[in-house]
Amino acid sequence: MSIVPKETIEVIAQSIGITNLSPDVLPNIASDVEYRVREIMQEAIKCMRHSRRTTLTTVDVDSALSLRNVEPVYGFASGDPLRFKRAAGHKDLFYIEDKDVEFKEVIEAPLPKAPLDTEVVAHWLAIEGVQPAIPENPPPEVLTVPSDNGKTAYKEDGIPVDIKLPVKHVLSRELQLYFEKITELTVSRSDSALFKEALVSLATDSGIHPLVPYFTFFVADEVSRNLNKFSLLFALMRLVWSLLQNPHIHIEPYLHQLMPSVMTCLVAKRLGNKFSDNHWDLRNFTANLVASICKRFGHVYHNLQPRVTRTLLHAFLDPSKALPQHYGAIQGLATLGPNVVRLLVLPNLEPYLRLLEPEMQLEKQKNEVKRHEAWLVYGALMRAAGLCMYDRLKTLPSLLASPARAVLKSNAKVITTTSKKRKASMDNTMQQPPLKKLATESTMGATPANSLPVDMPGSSSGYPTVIGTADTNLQSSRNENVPESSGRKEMVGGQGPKTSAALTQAWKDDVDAGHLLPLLYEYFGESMLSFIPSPAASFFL
Amino acid sequence: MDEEEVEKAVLAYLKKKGFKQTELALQEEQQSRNKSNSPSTDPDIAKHILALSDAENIPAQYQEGYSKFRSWAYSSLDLYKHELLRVLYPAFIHCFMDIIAKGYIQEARAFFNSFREDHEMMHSRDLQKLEGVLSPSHLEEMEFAHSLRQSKVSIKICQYSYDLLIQYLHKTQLITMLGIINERINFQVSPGQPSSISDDADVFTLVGSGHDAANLVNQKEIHWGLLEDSLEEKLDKAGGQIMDSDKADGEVKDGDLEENKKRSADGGKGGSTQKKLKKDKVVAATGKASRSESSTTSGAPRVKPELTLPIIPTEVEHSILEDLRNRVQLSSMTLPSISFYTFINTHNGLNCASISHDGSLVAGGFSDSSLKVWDMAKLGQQTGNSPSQGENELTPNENILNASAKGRSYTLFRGHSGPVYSATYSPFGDFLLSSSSDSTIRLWSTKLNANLVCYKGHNYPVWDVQFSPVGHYFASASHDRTARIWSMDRIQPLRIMAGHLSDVDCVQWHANCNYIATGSSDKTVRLWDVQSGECVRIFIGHRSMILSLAMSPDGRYMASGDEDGKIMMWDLASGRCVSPLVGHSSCIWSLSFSCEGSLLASGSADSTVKIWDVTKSSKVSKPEENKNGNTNRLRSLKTLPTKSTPVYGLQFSRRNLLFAAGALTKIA
Repeated sequence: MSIVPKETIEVIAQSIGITNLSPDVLPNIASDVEYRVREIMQEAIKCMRHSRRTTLTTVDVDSALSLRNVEPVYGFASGDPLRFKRAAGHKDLFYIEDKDVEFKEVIEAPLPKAPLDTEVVAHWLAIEGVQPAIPENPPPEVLTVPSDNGKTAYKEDGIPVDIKLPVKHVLSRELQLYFEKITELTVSRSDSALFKEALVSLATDSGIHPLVPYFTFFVADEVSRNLNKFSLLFALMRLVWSLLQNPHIHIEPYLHQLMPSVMTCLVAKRLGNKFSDNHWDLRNFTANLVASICKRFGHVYHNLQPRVTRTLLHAFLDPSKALPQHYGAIQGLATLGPNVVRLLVLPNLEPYLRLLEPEMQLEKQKNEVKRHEAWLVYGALMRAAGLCMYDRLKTLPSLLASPARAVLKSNAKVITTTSKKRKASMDNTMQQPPLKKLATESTMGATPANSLPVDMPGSSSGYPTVIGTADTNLQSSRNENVPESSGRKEMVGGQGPKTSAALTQAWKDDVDAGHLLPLLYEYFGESMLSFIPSPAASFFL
Repeated sequence: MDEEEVEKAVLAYLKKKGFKQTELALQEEQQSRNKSNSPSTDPDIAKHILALSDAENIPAQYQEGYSKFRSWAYSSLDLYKHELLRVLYPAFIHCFMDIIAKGYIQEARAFFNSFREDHEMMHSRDLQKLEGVLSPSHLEEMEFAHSLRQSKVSIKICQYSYDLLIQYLHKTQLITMLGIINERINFQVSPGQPSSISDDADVFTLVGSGHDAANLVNQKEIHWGLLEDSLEEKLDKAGGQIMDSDKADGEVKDGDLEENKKRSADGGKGGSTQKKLKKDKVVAATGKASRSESSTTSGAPRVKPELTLPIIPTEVEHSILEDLRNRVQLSSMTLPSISFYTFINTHNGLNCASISHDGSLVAGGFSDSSLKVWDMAKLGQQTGNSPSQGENELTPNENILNASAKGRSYTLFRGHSGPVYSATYSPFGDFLLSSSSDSTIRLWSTKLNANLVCYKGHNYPVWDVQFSPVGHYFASASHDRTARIWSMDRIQPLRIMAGHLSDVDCVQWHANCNYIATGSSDKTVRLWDVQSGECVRIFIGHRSMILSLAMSPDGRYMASGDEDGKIMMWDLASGRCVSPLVGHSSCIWSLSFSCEGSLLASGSADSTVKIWDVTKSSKVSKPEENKNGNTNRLRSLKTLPTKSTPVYGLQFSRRNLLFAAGALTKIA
């Protein structure tokens, strides 16, 4: 009947020396014990509330007992909430682990560290109702949820509420230390594992937004002063990369300060020691960085990508610029997407190659370094053009018979990124008018290219791999195939006079792609083949 | 069945139930009937009454009766259902107590357990208390149960529901239930449609002598207006004066200017005075602007103080006036800035946190009997973001310097011999009061860093202590179920407010110092007249212990926060709840109104500070409220979560900067 079983009473009675307890008394005592225990616990809850806690502790029970002038139960006091363990085999039986402690050990053990003294720290929980993103406040993802609720509430009430953005940031001591540590690491120990940790922290920490202007200034300053320190530049670019990765940072307003330094690292004439440092890597890395910036902020900063492109194109087309600068420009343009390459690089490909060619040839360029550079530029150009073509050809397979694709899909080793595909195809639909223009351009380009077959052996002869006769067969067969396919399509188009303009445009693109391939093949030879998506290749082969 | 037997049974029944008058009436009638000799009794009823006295079946009867009644109430028409369901809870607890009282402990337990889920949501705390009752003697001993059995519950019900209920009980002859309902429930039958569900009439709170008494108390007149001659008024006057003097100066200046034109040589000097005047004018203009905006406070009626008020030193007055002039006007559009003071390394020992009115001093009361005071103006200098810019002119820093020289960042106040449960700063920051479980209140000087007085009077732990808005007087609340009013210069209390049925957990002064409000574990808030010591209002509506109180600066409203996270806004004049504010999920430790009363801040154990818009409700006129129940819902403007720091204390500075304090707790 009561929670306390009468056996318990009996045992307790025996333990204090009462053996002749009559059994009639037991249930009465048991029920009274339960009543008293409940009473004490109610008082304990009051004490807990007045101690501003939500967990009941032994201290509360003690104070409840002392309220009733009862001696407290000694030996259970603990500063922290008790940790209960579930008894094995029971669903709702818990106990507190009580370890045996060797007395000797306790005596011999070194004194424990003194507990830290209580302190008070101040921070802004909100500034004019807006919580600043500082480490003392919970991370923004926690914050957004309730604020959303708040917004819906406003809507219900029908009252327009404008929330001011934070106006003032307070740089706490911790943040200052953090900034100092990071900058020191970047400048002096960028190869350490600690720097990697720092980069991870930069990319994930939610509270470092107040530091963004300082970091921006730091990067700009260091880049302008240390163009010959390769490792520092690389570290700075990685820092920028990490900052861009951080989802909690609102970096947009600082981009205009950041971009010049980044562009410098892409197309500067000299980055670090020309001979000992692998500045190509840095340029590659920065090119990706630029691309990711354009991708993320292009829609917000409508003139961001045009400006970047113009700068890069300028570097690319200026023959007086050094080859590493060209390399950087090409890499940068290539990462901006196949459409950029097609629109800006390909039309200039032919004259540029003519310029580049002498630099690559052993006979004409005696300088080993220069020749190496030229080859790297050539490789970059080829990659850019190839990826562009790959992208164009991808639109073809949709027209191809699916069985062929299924069979040959297994050897599709060059299919790189699917996301790029999707994006490119979106671009396709959006940029119809320029495509039209391009179509005419490329066909125009194709005719002179066809008239220059003499160039081809020259350029490909420099390439280490020897082209067999099979290749020429290939080429011819492909050349046959292309007109045929386009011809067939045009025929279909002729058959259906009612077909929409869009459809013909799409076909025109295909035709255009068809033209592109032989053109590029002429420039780069067989190495271009690896860029052809396998279904398309199957179509051509 | 013999007629005499029936009569005996009826008499026995009436005696048992204590229906003395009916008994008398019956006896009289019997006598008259004996004369006329015309027996006509319904044998059926007699049978039932006899069955009632049949001791064997009592628990079963209760059980059966209640379950029948319950299923009927649950299956009744939706329109009347909620009203009928309200009757269930009192019927349930009285059934339970009746069974206990008759000594059927086991059956009572079974009965209790089979139906307790129905009421768990609304009355879990009462049920927990009642669960412990295991013998008839406990019923007598336990105050809650005792008072339940002494008093009647009053329930508002519409005429039709009432008829339905009575009809049903008669028809089905559930005599036990009928008995309980007659005996324990006082129906306030109202004509017309049943009240809406949202109406909080289903509160079931015990008030010493029943609801009627509470209603009577709430009829008393109270003067909630603000004090005459308050500083804010002075500010207004001062503003006016400046304006006046400015005008006069302007005229003089004009005259001067003309003279200056004539004497062009003296131009430079005239220009400088002109500049100065302009500056003065700007100040006056801002003063005026703030005055016109703070119309909420000046619109309140004025009352004379009942206490002799202490005299404010002029320099303090000036600095307060300065603060008032620089006050930021807050509204739903302009939310306050909040400076948060986090206590770290408290090892679960922090019981309370209190912040002075200018935010420069923070006091923490600890369970190790210590009271620690931090001077934030000095700590703030290190981080360079002292949130109390310019507001700490009142606190002299020299004395505390030696304390921090010892390597501690705080001043330790030792004197209590038990956990310190509450601390409060005087309005000007020069005194600090602390209350402790050693049943004493101590007064400390923040200038001397010493204990000045120890006030002994309470017999049990003092849960809360609060300085009055004018200083000098203070109020305390204790486990001994009293609240007391003290003045700083006497060691005996001036008034003792007794009447709460359980611990008085929190206390708060009214803005005009003529009243104090107390919140208690008996789930009521009471308002007391300081001069007479009488209870002038009882606010019923909370479902759990009341933990925090706040009074609006215009003196019209009061907010109270409870253990469940519910905040209620009360209209002091009518004694009714304006609106409950629901949003917190745990205990409300602290409440604070902004200085012009437009916002309410609440700090809770769920580690959030919430800002509520309270202007809207205040301005909604009565007819509108009746038309649409939703218009008087106050809204939450903003929820500001902290980093696992329950908010122990909140304080709006005179310039409307909000200070909050809490102890960082480890995430388990």
